[in-house]
Amino acid sequence: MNIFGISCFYHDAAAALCVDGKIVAAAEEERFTRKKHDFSFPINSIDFCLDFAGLKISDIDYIVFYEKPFVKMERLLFTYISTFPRSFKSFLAAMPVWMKEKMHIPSIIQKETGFEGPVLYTDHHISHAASSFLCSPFEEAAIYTVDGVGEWNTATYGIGKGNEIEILREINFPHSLGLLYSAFTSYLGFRVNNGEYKVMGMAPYGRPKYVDEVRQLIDIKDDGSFKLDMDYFAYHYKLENLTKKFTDLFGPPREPEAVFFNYITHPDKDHPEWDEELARVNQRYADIARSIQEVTEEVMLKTAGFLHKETGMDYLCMAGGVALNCVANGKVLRQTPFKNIWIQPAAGDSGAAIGAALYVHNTVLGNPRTYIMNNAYLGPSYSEESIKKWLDEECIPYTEYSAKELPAAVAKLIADENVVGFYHGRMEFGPRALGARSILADPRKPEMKDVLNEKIKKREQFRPFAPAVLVEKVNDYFDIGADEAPYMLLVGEVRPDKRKVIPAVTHADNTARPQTVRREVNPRYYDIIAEFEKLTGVAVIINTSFNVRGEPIVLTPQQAYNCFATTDMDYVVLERFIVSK
Amino acid sequence: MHLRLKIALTVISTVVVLSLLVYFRRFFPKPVERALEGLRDWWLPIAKKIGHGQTIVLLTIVYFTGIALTSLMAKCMGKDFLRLKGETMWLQRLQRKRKKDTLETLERQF
Repeated sequence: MNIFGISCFYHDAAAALCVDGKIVAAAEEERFTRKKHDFSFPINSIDFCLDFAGLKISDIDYIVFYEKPFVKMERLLFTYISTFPRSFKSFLAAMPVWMKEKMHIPSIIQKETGFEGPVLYTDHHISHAASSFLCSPFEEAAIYTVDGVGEWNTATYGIGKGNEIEILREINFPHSLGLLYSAFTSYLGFRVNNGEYKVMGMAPYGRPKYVDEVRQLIDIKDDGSFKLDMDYFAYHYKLENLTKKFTDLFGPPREPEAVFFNYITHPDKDHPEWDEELARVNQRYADIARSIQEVTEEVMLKTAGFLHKETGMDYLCMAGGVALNCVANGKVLRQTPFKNIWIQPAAGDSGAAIGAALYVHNTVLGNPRTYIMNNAYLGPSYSEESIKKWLDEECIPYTEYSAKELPAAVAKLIADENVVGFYHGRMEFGPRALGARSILADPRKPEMKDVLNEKIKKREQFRPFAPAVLVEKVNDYFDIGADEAPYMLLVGEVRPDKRKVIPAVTHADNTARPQTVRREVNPRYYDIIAEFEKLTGVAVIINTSFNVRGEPIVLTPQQAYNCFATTDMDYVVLERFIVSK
Repeated sequence: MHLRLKIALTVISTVVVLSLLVYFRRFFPKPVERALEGLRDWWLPIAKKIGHGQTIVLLTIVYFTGIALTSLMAKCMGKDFLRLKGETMWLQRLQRKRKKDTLETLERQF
């Protein structure tokens, strides 16, 4: 039984191929088209999945679209009706796209892929729920999905048992935790559906001084249910997010791309563009970021606590864009009675493609679960032979290592304070680089953060870098409340005695977002960290995604080399070949 | 025949003939086909702009008739589709959505 799950036409288009109940391949369209968060039909991802599995489109039994388009259309129409005449511009902007594309999903699928079989449609939040529970190792669990908006739902909870999923309750548009967070993302000068993690990164530089103001926008009950005061928001009838009432309460929004420094980023006031007034204004923005982060955590913690009481389950599965809020996730794990939680690594809409396919295979067709997602390496890989051939053709000098020698060589480069691009094996599915398309560096020097930010990633200075740690050493360095965090989805404190050991990955509030690395999952990556530990006594390295600001993570060895060549990266490792500047 | 009608018929018939020629351009000798393709390339952006304009006009009519009337009726009936005034609470999932999905229910886009 071969089933395709696809998500597209909103953001983060993706395709996932399920063969006999196992996800064998999945990829996000942005990696192929090089447009970040590309939402177009994922034809390249589909082609890759078919190619990888050695299948033709005629071998596919079902294609499952991750949401129900007509229900979404219904929500739009009811919103326009409710907000008439303010919704006129939004109506004019949205309807042509709906008439041209979104109302014709079956014909688009048929035209683009040549698929003649049945196209199925799952509910958006069911897709999220399935992407989490049906990929998890749990036989039964509570399920919590929370995002911007699907058809009507913005948050749901339910239970999963065996191969069954039941959604019990829901919160509907326009009351949305995801859209509330996105409104603040836009207010703080970042792009919606792209810069939410920057708000999370900015929050530790502030204090929760505006929590009361944020509470004016959202009414939260003890069971985690919430309702927004829509007088502050315009996203339900306008292309902008905020109303004047919002800016009257919080002040003028931050300019996009504005320089950010405050009294915590530069306690010695030594930023080259230091300005007292700007630092004061930035402090206010950081305080607002911290306040919205705290309120988001409050909602998630209350919901998770309520869910535990309501369902009596020991385990929790989470998905939806808001489940990428790793600070909140860490607190949910540590501060609620759940014994463990499992979060879909591609918790946003791309992961819903996996959920849609598994939902049909397991829940609808009644097949028993045979799949646990124990890694996210579901994308394309390129053979050593093809890389070597390309390097030779391009006359790029390189050093070839044996598989056994390579980890020690790479670890030595990192220990010598070089920044190393690491390209190996199948590409990750989801927003995080997990040691297949990563940039690696030494976490022991505080300056390394600035080097990476300014010379290579070319991104905002305030954003932190994540550590990768040997799984058996995670509790020596971090207090995340779990023995494993393979997808960088849990933030926890760096242990006090290690903060000065790994300053480059210790954020302003002494936290970090570690990735635990298992040898069984990625032996080469694990061996590099193990060799680094032998050299330095530290079982942690910096792992950041292999891309520059504004671009998707690299897909091909050529893109990896170009990224290396156009930045101040010192070395790039393409499988067993090391290229230097 | 009235002069205006004559002009209109001439314009319409010219457009129809040119459209047919462009559509069947592959049946003509190469130089003619190329000329017709040039005509098509010149016309397409203009047609798109006209189409865009027509879409805006049509949607405006729909908005200020269909949506406006429905909105008025909803307001008169006190409907609150977005639950702007409702209690803060988790909503019970609709009964129809709680039924077990089958291949038949999933074939529907609603």
